[in-house]
Amino acid sequence: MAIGLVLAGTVQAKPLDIWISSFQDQLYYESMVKLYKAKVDKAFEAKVQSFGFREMPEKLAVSIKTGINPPDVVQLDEVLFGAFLGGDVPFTDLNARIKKAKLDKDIAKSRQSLFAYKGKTYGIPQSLSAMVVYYRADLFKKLGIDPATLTTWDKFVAAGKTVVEDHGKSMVALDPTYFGIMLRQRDSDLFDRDGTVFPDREAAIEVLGWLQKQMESRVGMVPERASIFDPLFFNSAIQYGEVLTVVGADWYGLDMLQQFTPDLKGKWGVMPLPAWKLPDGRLSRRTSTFAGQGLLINKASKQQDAAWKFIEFVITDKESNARRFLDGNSFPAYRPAWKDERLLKPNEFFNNQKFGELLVRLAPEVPEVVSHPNRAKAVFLFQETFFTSLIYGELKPAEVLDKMKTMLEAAGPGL
Amino acid sequence: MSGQGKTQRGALSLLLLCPFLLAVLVPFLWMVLGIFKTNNEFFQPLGKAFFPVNYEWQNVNELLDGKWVPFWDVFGNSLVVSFGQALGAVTLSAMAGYAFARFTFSGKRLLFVLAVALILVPRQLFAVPLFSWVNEIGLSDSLFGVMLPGVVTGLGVIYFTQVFRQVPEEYLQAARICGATELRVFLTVLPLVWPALLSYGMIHFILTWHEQLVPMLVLTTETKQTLPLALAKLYDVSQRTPQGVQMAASTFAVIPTAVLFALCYRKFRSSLSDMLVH
Amino acid sequence: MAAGDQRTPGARWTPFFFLLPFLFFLLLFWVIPLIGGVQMSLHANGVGQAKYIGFAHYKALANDERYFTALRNSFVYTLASVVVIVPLALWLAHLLRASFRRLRPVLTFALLLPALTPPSVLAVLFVMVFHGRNGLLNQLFVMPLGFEPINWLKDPDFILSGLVLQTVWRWTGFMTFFILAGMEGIPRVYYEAARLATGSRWRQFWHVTLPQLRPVLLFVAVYLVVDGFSLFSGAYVLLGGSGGTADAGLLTVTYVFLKTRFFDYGSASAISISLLPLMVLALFGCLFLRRRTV
Repeated sequence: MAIGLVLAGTVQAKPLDIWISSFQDQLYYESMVKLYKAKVDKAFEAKVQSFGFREMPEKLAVSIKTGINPPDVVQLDEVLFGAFLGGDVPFTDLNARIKKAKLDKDIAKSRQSLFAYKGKTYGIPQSLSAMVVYYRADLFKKLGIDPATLTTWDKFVAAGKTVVEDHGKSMVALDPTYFGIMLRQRDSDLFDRDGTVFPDREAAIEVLGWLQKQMESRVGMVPERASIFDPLFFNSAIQYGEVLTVVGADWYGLDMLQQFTPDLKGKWGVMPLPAWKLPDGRLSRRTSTFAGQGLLINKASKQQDAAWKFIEFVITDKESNARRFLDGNSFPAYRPAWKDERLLKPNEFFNNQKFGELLVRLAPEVPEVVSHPNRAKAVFLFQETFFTSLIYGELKPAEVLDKMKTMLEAAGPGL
Repeated sequence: MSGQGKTQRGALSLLLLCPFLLAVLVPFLWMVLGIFKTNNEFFQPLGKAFFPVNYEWQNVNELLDGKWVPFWDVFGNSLVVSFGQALGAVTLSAMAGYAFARFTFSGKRLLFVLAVALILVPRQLFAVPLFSWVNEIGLSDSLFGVMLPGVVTGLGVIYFTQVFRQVPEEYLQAARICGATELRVFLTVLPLVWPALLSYGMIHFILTWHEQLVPMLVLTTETKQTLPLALAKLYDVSQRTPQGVQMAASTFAVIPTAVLFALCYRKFRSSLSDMLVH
Repeated sequence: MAAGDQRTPGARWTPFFFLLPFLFFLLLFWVIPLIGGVQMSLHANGVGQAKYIGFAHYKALANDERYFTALRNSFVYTLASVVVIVPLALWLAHLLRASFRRLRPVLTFALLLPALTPPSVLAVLFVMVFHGRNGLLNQLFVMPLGFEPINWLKDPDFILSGLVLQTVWRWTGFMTFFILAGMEGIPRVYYEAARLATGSRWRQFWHVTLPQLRPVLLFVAVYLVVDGFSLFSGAYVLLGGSGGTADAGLLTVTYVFLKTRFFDYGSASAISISLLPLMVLALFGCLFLRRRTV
């Protein structure tokens, strides 16, 4: 009997604890676990739990801090990941494993650093998150605008002025996320790798000033809740045809536009971002990035190898990546998956354009995101406290930067 | 008062109540109708799409089948947790209120203030330490870990202190003269304040039903979660989950309170006033 | 028919017997964590570390503009809630008493519905009601009266008003229920005596009903203070956990939440504890006042 107990003990390892940020993804991962069991390891056991996009970071943090029942694997969004960087980072450094699995060649270069900090890589990104401009192809045609000519923001704004003056509509919807997005388009970011906030002050002032100016001239408009992710935005400004374009990531169009503007099927087009004219005379890249989920391993986990094997499987399995796109509308960061026809074919909803192909074309230009312990705070602060004041001209760009800087540099853990 | 006068007053009051009733009933109706709407319909401006186009019961069926959350498990958990807390809170607060109301002892005011002051502080203060302490005593991921901290309520102490102040002293003296122990005296007084016990029980039930912070930290296993917690994870930035499911779950959540209310309503009227009129 | 303290016979320890269960749980689940919280406030606390820094957090708060904004907002918010809700609830209770007896349970329950609605539903509901052009408030009240639509959720001048409105909507019915229960408990004899002394209904209300209701009203006020300073729901539901544009809607509890959200547990604890003396003072004040009037 003792031998039986010992055997039982060795065969059955503790199930892997996986925490996911949303319910839809929970379903995806549960099917991944099944697939993994079938394809790789029949004895594999895992428990997948989801906690809600907003609740998850807090629960994770408390669990890690107190050491009580933390998960082995966790899925986090890059914006929220930063908050865990103050002090001892509770995630495993995956650099060596990534190299061994040749993922450093197979994952889109710029995305590899998404979860990196001070030379270590703590997570694997799942999505490319390339930004594009979604435009109303039907209205563009009616107003005589050729999207191919909108190669720079200057040309874009010029076209926008005609739209405002002659037709009373706005050219682009403005959202607080554009601040970081446009900084990254211009080879800058909210932080640099040394931890300085707003490293390129001129660029930051130019971007903020640009946002303010567009609002003033009505070339840009701000949705009522100051967010392009507000479902009510689609049912008011978009529905009434008051605005012609929105800057968003792949899932924005694939998920939200498809769900909330079904009667505009076939009327949406996609194009790269217009370029900025940089101070040294060059033109900037024509895409950017924001957010994106990734998988991380808890440093305190006792099943590092099992966790990594599973993650590796999820990232590299081509069928899973295709499924993620088809069901969840997230374009993968794993390059070999881009050859899948299903991702590349013409998309009916988007004016029969080859959306996936455009994303593949833009992929090499997707900029890096600089992680920082205060990144989440910065994004949130700008979005909630300063964006509206800026956009309505109550605060000048320099003032916003200074105030934010003071707040960000004030007492924070480990800074 | 004449019958006619009473009817007039009744009608007038009803009329004056109308705006308030509308303000509370229309949102409730909206919530119920939301069960049948698609997400797109749901977020249309209220004037345009108040009524759903089709009355599909899909959301309800899916919810009850457990497709989104293990509905019956979490609903049951919420019931147990709220009911348990209500029971516990009433017991503890009633006893404490009785002590504060009918006895004099040194340090009374200080103790009272301590008991009540703690609830005036943001809950977040207790979150992390409570979580690790609950775990240390072995109540992590257990419904008791949520229930037991919740039976302490300063509001209850205030409430019952007031309630027991209003009991006539003669009543207590009568019981004492008959040689009853203090405990017995207390037990004889209880039926007098029965409506207050029920009222507070119901209030505590309502207040704890929606609680999120402590349950979120203490409960991890899906089938052990409470209803609001389980529903919270359906929230998605890209709005993929149907709002109708949330609406259905919330409508069901109103039922236990409605039942409690219906059962106890008549008893809410104080027997105290009746007794004194005799 | 005396109400108030009496020196009672019986053992000295009798009151403590009744207090014991409550005190036991209070100690176990509140005082002990409180000590933990105090400890946290004296450390620089994040997810990855805890370093003793003494009173540094508190000193930082004393110079923190946002902290004082939060205090001010919470105070205004609470005061406004009490000032609007209490008379409104009294009025509704009166109306309910005067209405048809058969309808009363149904009507009372209807008024409780807002309190029974889960915060997740309220979050969506408030967006629909408080939205700009397409929001219900603007469509039904603001625009017909000839005003420009108010952006309740983003316009710093109106955010606090929006917060108060949602609290009024949510809790008035709840308070009405309480007051109704309290009114039912007033011995009829008092009313008889008052009616004989003065025919005026208003006088009856002022001299009989109101004083008898004082305990209930105290309870209501305390509840709303708790809601204003330490319960999160309303602000979180309306503003999504932020303080709004220019921190116009930043409440103390929101500020604590924001700190916790970014894992600055030490500072969050410091804010919460800093409120304790304020609350204790307010409570003592209430008690003292009550003693004088009863």
